[in-house]
Amino acid sequence: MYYLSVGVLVPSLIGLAFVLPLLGMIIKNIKFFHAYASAASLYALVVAAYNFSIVVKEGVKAYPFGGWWPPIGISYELDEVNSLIALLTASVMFLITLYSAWYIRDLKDAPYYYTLLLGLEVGMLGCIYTGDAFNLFVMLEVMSISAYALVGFYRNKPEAVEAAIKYGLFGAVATTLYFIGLVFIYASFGTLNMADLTNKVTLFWGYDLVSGYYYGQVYAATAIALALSLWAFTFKSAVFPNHFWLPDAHPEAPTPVSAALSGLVVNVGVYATFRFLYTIFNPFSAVSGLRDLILLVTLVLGLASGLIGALMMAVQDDIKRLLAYSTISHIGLVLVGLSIGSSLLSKPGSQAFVDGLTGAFYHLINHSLGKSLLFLTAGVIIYAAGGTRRLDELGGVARRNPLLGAALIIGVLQLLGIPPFGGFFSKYLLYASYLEAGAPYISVIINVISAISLLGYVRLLYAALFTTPKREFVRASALPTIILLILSVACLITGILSPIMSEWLRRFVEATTSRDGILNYWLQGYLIFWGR
Amino acid sequence: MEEITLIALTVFSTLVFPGLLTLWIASMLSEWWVRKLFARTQRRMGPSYVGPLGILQPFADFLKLLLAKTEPNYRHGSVKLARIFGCVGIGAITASLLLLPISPLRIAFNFDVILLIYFLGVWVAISELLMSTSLTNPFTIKGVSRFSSMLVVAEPAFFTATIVPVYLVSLTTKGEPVFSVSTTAEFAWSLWTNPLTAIPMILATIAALVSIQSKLMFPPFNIPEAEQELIAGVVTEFSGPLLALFNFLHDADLYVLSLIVAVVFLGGPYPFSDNLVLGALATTAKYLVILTIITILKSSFGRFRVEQGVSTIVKYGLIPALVALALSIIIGGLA
Amino acid sequence: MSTLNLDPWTATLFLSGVLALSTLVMYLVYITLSRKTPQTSSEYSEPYIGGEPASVIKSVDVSVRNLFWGVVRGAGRRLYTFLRDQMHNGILNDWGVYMLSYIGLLTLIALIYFMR
Repeated sequence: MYYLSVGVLVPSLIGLAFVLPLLGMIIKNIKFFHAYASAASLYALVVAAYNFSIVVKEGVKAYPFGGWWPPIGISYELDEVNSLIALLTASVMFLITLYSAWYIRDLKDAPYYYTLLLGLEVGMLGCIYTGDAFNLFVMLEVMSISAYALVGFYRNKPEAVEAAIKYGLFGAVATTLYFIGLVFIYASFGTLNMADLTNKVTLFWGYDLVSGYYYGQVYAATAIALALSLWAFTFKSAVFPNHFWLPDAHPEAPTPVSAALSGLVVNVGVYATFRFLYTIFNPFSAVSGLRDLILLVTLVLGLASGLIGALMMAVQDDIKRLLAYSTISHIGLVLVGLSIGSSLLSKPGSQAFVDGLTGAFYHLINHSLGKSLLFLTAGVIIYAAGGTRRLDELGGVARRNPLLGAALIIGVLQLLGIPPFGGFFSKYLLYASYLEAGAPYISVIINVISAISLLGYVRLLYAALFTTPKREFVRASALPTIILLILSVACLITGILSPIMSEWLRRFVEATTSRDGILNYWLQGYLIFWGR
Repeated sequence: MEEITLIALTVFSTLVFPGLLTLWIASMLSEWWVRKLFARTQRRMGPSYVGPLGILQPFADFLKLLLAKTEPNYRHGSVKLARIFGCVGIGAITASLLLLPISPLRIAFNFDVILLIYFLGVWVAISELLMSTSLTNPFTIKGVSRFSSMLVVAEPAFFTATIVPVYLVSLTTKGEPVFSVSTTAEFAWSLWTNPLTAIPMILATIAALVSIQSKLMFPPFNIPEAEQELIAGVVTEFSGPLLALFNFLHDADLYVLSLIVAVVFLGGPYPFSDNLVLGALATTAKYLVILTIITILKSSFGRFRVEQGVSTIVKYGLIPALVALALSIIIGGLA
Repeated sequence: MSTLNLDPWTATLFLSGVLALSTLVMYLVYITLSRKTPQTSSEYSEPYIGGEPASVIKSVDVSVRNLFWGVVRGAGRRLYTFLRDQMHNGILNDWGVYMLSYIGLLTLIALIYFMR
């Protein structure tokens, strides 16, 4: 049987988003839109949490749209990993939407802002929920177009428009390349359904009544399709050398949007990489040789972007730009964790394999919480410092508001990975997995990345906490402070609950990446029609 | 009942041995050793008034600073933050001591060497950095900037150097838990008796000493303090109790880092592992040798410029450690 | 002597508890023993500039641009020149070179795999 809640979330949320401009013509009270958007994202949070609980209780769940047979129709498919990332996305987005009510309190364009913000959330949730490779393309576009528009939201600022155009141009190239990759996949497999693709690539059965056998040069097509889609995914998650857009785009967006982009949107690319390299083109598949090569590439790129992000952090003058480079560094680390699955490093199901993937997802969660906390803190700091983003002009505002200072320090400690904050436990797993895999050099490079990023964080702490006042201190209202408090506590909780969290994540990773798990993904996604 | 014993043992380990009290005494004694020896190399007397051979001088200095002087009322910066970070640094050092096999309550788990690095390396470094930064002064900030510049290479060098014995022990023995500080301490001596593993061990020990030297801001890496050039660099604004706190943090760092070299690299109580008293004496002897080497290094160099400092750490810290790690991997491939 | 065999998570949290306990004790010792800042005095001590009055410097702040010279303009000068001036120069064409060479690399891998 299938649950309506799995399928209904994304379409209903997109409906809620697109009603907003219409409502904006009728209703002139901005408070209404704050309440409306917060309610909508609360609704998304509740449904995502419900879906997560279903998956934890009953295992993989799929939803065929319109009751169509899966290889023909679009289906959403939830397993433990993507329902967890969706829950993370929905909860952080809820806090970001609440924060937006303070951030854009007087803005006339609030309905449009919230349309785009909810559009961004819909895009992310759609990308994460979908069990269809083409639907992933559509949802990537939904997400990206909202993101382009949000980056250029302050359309009077030339920098914002320039950043949006740069982001948009390359983003369009990325999604188009992914589309071309899909063409190759469709031409050779006759299907775009992820479950069906998994079946065909892994040779579980290899045949489908609707999509038939294989067509043409399957290996060549797979290789090219993987290359193209990996490029697109690493673009979305801003991994070196596809990271150039990020430090321009993220700082120019309104601060809550920067938090969403840096904390959550980049996760989508990582998740898609995981879905492609661990479910569809999984370690047991017929293309595992190609997969090993590609995972080596992602390992090198992950390390490179970790290093470059950390090095560039040390020379930034702009608080949001500094945080943006930190995002590049951390996503690099997550990708390093994901790359453990190459058979040159570890066997599927071995300790190192599970540790690395657990560490990657743990780090993803820690980074999302820590980075959104820091960006939202930066928003309050910028406001308190009179609107400047330049580190030299911040004037130590965070010290004069102890809660703000504490949030800043906690965010930095979380990202630096210092015990007992969550960041330590994920880094511990990353170190441990590569030591276990007999590649201590990678652990050393991870340590180098952490050490270099210390420079950037010292710069941030010094400027925001310890410089002398430059102008009158503006006190922010209670709402953003409460949100910062919640996120700070969340950062601590990911650390304190680490025995439970790591156990759960380990279970999820084992369930998702084992041979049985992949078989189950196919069966649940594909045979749903008969199982209703 | 067991819980009560555990709690009592935890409190004892945290506060008495090897925790705060022992940490304080040992740090002060280490400071005395370094000061006395340093003075002797320069043909000075060194501390000589308080106690026999001046052995109680550091205690007296500490107590005088703490009890007699007052904290100034800083216009810029926050005394409270400086205090908190100073105490957190000492707390981190205390916590890391429980990972060593000298502690009555020993914590050991797979890959606990990473925790050691994060407590002893990162927490302490951050505490020192933020403690100095808390009291804003251009010279302090300059010192902090130089200190963090050096840490960028010193931390990885120390990490890599520590990984070498840990990795070699995990390759050559069946000790459990794996990649753990106490397992390594137990078997580290066997790495020196085997000529194959002795080579990477020598390199790693050199690297560890170089990086410790720079983490402690001792010459030739006293760039962050840089007397005369930066007034006193990171310690410019400390006076009275805060200076006592910072000195304690620094000495404790000196004590624990040297102890780690003595225990993890040189095998601690070996060759008297079964005798508690002789074992403790052997550990102390090794510890004093390390301290002496650090002091000799301190006394025989002038100060580098910061970029020289960074490249020296790379040349004599990071690269030997990486070579040692490469050799260990090769040995692992042969084994 | 007793060894506590815990899983990494609990052990780390345990040691963090030890950190918190010893920090607290240290702080209490410090607070009780030390003579703190006189609360009544409204006189601030100026930053110590080698005995000169604080007015000799324009500001007690150091610009963040001047931090980390040892790395940025010293030991890592060439690296940073490359990273900042040649790589992250904000010119779309130059980004394109990196991005396109990356996809070139990926395609090359795909082709090699296919030819094999």
